[in-house]
Amino acid sequence: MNISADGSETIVTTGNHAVSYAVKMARAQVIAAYPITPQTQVVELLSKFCEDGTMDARFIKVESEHTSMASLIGASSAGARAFTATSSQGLALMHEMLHWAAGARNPIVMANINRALGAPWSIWTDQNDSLSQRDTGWIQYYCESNQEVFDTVIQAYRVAETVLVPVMLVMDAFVLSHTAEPVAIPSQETIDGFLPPFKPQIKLDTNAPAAYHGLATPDYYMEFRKKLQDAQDRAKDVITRVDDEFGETFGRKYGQVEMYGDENPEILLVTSGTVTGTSRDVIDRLNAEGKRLALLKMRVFRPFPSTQVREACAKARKVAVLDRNIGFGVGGIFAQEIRAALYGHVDVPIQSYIAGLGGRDITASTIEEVLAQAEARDENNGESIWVGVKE
Amino acid sequence: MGKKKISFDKISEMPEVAIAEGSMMVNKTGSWRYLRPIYREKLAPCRKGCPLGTDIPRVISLINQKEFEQAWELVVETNPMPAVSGHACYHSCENSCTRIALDDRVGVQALERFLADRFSDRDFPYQPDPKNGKKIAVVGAGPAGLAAAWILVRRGYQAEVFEKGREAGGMLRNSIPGYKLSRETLDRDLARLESFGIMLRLNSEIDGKDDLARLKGEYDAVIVATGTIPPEPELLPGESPPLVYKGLEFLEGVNAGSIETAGPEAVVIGTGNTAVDSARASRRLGASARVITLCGRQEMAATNEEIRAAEGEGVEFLYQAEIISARVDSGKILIEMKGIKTAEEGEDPPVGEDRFIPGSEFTIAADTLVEARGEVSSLTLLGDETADGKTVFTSGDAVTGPSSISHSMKSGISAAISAISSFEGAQPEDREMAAFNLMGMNRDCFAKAAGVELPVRELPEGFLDFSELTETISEEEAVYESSRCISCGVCNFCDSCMTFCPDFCIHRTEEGYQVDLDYCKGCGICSQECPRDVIDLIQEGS
Amino acid sequence: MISELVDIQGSELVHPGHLGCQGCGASLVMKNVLEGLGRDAIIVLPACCWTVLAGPFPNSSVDVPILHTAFETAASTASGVKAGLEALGNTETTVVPWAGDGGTFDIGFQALSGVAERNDDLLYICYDNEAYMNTGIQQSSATPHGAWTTTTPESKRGNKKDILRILAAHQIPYVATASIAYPEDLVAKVRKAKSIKGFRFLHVLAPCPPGWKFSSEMTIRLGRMAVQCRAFPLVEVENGRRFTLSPMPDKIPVAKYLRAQGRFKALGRPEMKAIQEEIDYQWETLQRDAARDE
Repeated sequence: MNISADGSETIVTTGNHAVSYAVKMARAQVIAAYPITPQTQVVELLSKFCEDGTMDARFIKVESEHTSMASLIGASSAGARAFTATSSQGLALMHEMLHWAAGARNPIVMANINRALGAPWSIWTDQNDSLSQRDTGWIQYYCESNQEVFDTVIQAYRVAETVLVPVMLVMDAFVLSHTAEPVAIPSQETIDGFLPPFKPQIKLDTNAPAAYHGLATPDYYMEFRKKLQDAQDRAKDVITRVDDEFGETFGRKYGQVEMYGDENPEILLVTSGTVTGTSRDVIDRLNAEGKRLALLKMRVFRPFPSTQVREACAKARKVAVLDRNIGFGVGGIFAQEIRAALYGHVDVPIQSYIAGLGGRDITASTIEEVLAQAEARDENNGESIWVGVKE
Repeated sequence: MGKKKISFDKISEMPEVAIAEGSMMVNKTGSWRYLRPIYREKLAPCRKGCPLGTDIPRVISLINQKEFEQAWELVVETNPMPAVSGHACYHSCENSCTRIALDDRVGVQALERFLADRFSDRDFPYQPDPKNGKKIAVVGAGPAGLAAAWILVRRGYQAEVFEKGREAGGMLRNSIPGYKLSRETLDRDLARLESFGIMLRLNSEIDGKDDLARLKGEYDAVIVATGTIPPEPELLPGESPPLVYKGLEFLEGVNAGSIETAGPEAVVIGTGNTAVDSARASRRLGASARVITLCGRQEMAATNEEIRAAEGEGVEFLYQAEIISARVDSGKILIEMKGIKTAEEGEDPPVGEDRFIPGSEFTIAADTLVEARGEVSSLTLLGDETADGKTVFTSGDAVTGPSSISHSMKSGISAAISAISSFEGAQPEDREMAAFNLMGMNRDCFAKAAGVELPVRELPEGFLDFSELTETISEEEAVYESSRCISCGVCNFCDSCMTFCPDFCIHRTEEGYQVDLDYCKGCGICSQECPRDVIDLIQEGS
Repeated sequence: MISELVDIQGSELVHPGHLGCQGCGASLVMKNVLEGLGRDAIIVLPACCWTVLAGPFPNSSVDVPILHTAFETAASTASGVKAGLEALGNTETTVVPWAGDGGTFDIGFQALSGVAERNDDLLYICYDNEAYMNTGIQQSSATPHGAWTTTTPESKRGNKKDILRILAAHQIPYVATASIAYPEDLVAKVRKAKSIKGFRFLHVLAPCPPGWKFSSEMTIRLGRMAVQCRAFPLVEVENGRRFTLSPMPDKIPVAKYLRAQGRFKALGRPEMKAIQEEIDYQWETLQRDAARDE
């Protein structure tokens, strides 16, 4: 263990446990979670913290994920800081309640371990589970490293409680969740300074009885939806501010996107999640060989950082989006959204590549392969190219 | 929660989430209604059966609330002789009590007696109207005459009651025996009436046309309430007391103390309560008593209660016994009788010789014979005149023949009202009330509960005297018994309507329940649930 | 009892102007429960008739906080509310999942079993109108055998789910039945439940005029008859073991109850006889269970 000058302690730990430590230090008050591979270690360590008193929180051992989100909506409405973690089928099971939590403006934070959805069964990573929730109104962060996971939990609570929108942070199954990396854990004091206790603006109160989330007729419903949309809009600035402040306090910041590599690249490779880490290496190596390549890491997916994406893409001659997901009937989801953001603003060809579904490994070779294809191709026909399929 | 109406015109005015802080009371659901509940009291069967129209359910409700004084005041609003009624009335109220169908009548008379005895020293709570200068003569200080005088005094008239006897009371004193109505009880009611302002002229017989003419001259009106007289004896005409008594003559003498014996053996002929009372009085004078009647037990005019009580005291009843002959021999009355056959079901009774049961002749001997064949009305005073309805009015048993205490009082009151009308014009009628409807009750509310019985005075085995046989119930028993009253047609604030209204729009006030018509949806639950047919549903808009 | 004097004054916490049908039984459940609970309560309200009775934004017909929630989540959301309150130091406020039979017996059954097994400190009220009334009278597992519903237009086959025994099997501290026709009993049970910690469940019969097909003034009468015929006996079970029968009126034949409702119109004598036998069997079993503990 290393303790550095700012009082933080560096440990080597898995992505799952990084979540647990962060949630403990964020002083979550109510946790309701149901185990699912590969999330189980998150909740197991949190259970231990709750039982041994390290954490002053109530852990409801719910009987399904749907129940866990419903319980947290209840807890958050009562004024408590709430947390859960899940994955894949569990996230899908919560779907109804994700819509509800966002509409109810409960600032819940959830860690989702990206895992492929059945049928057929898969326990390995891809992003369809979290991306299927993209219209629910939740803010979404995609994390590259265990440090980022830890840091994002803390940032997430600040953002959620400021704009009153629930936040999910997402990481790859096994590649991050079960892989140990060094994580600098700041002191509780510094974290408390950065993240004060939750002061709910909306709270169930027997002294001021009211009914919450009752029937909103066509006369009123649209306004509430607009308010949620406006909150997502406001979140962009808040996310940046919080991240900047985090940087000042803890020495690390991440941005909504991150551009890495050549400043005017021939090809801009867009990635998210752990693939980003592998891609950095590939790009370094290829640039050293004379290529002009850059990487755009998508950290925040909702609200979609259109401005930053346009800025980055405008610098490139071509954009190749690597999607570890598929929007059936259309194509790679990040690719679609980027196309939509650029349309009418930046005219640069976008190529969509699909790789790594169901945990198929995305290695350095895969990325080189994608870059080679991107270099060779010029057409911009909008179709997604599947990489590595047995043909 | 604010009761104000909340609405939003701009998104900026709206909360971040749908927080409802307004009240649904802005939504006046009364517009849904097509039937409306109204509270409409009904005429309870007991009240309908009471000749005086006493508001019995309300009296009982007051007892239940332990407002005994208020209850008593309500009784004497309509009844000038509460103690007499409480001890001796025929309680037709009880006979029509709805509760009989469930378990047992409500002991209305016992409750009235409880109140009367509790407030025996109290004067009437109301004052007579200011005197209007008119004087009315009442002939006869029986229940009819006294009730007439009471109304007259109440309405500001001077009422003078002429009574031929030494004491007031009429039948109350003369014929109702002490074991049913003690002298003290009667005297208390009389004292109150005198204290109220009724003037009694005792030992003043008004007899014949001249006396009547004098009264007509001296008074503004005359009310004749002379009651009944017994018919002439049939069996041994010419015979007289102490051998043969006619009608109430026997009981009057016993009550006055002038008859001290009925021989070792007394015989009474008659079917009514007077006959039975004569027999029971004889027993108390130490005689054996037999009642002879032509009819069967079922056809007796006397009440079952009376007959059973008499049997309990050793009176022997000889039913369906026709008297063949009677004569006096050495101071003993010998009566020869034969049994009459019972008629076959559905057939006419046999006639002629056929009617006798063969071999059933027997003779009895008696020292005293009482012929209690019924009284007849006695308007002898009027002679050939009739009540002209202008200055002379008639009332009570004198008109109807024998009836009951309450009917007599009612009759006296009616005569007084007629007299008053002749001076003041037509008097307002009592408001018509819809009859109580059993189908309007919610019978689920009532569980079986035994009715209270009057306590019986402890007496040694076989001992008989003239003191009252029964005693007054206790306060605890009165409150219990009052809780059995269903309060037919009269709201007693049970709160059922308010409790079961699904729209929370029935409110209780001092004056009764109010339905908030802004919200009432007209579901009808209040009407259905009312245990006592007080709430009706009418068409909205009618 | 000799007279029918009812001691319940009525809660100030419910308002007229609500959107219940004429003669709605469910509205009386709320009035009586709030009478027993008082102001320090939070209702967690999933989709059901009461969602509508409570009124649309921006109005409410109840003077305690209501948290509306999704259909199957009364118990689960309430569980979270309770945890949240406790996290903030409030152990007093009663959290009340308030669901109909659909949200309790069927779609909400999982969550119910979950909180019961965990013995979460909640006071669950199931007001039972014996079908999915809010969506138009479709059958639920609480619909009694033989009843017409829009999804059982012939008649429903299969007995009502025995939620009392199911919850007794979870060994929760307190489960009881009540009827709006016996308000003192209902309020007393609410108060008793309130005084106990852990998971408590009150199953309250709420007759429904449009759903059961009777004229609106008969709501209370039917609530009474259901108890009288023992189709809905009044009983308490503590800790899954101790059965106590509440005082009940004299028994009447179930045919009287069935004939008073249009939804049982299709039943002939043989079916009513079978229903009577089933009711008698269940009633005897209850009596035996109650006797066992004396």
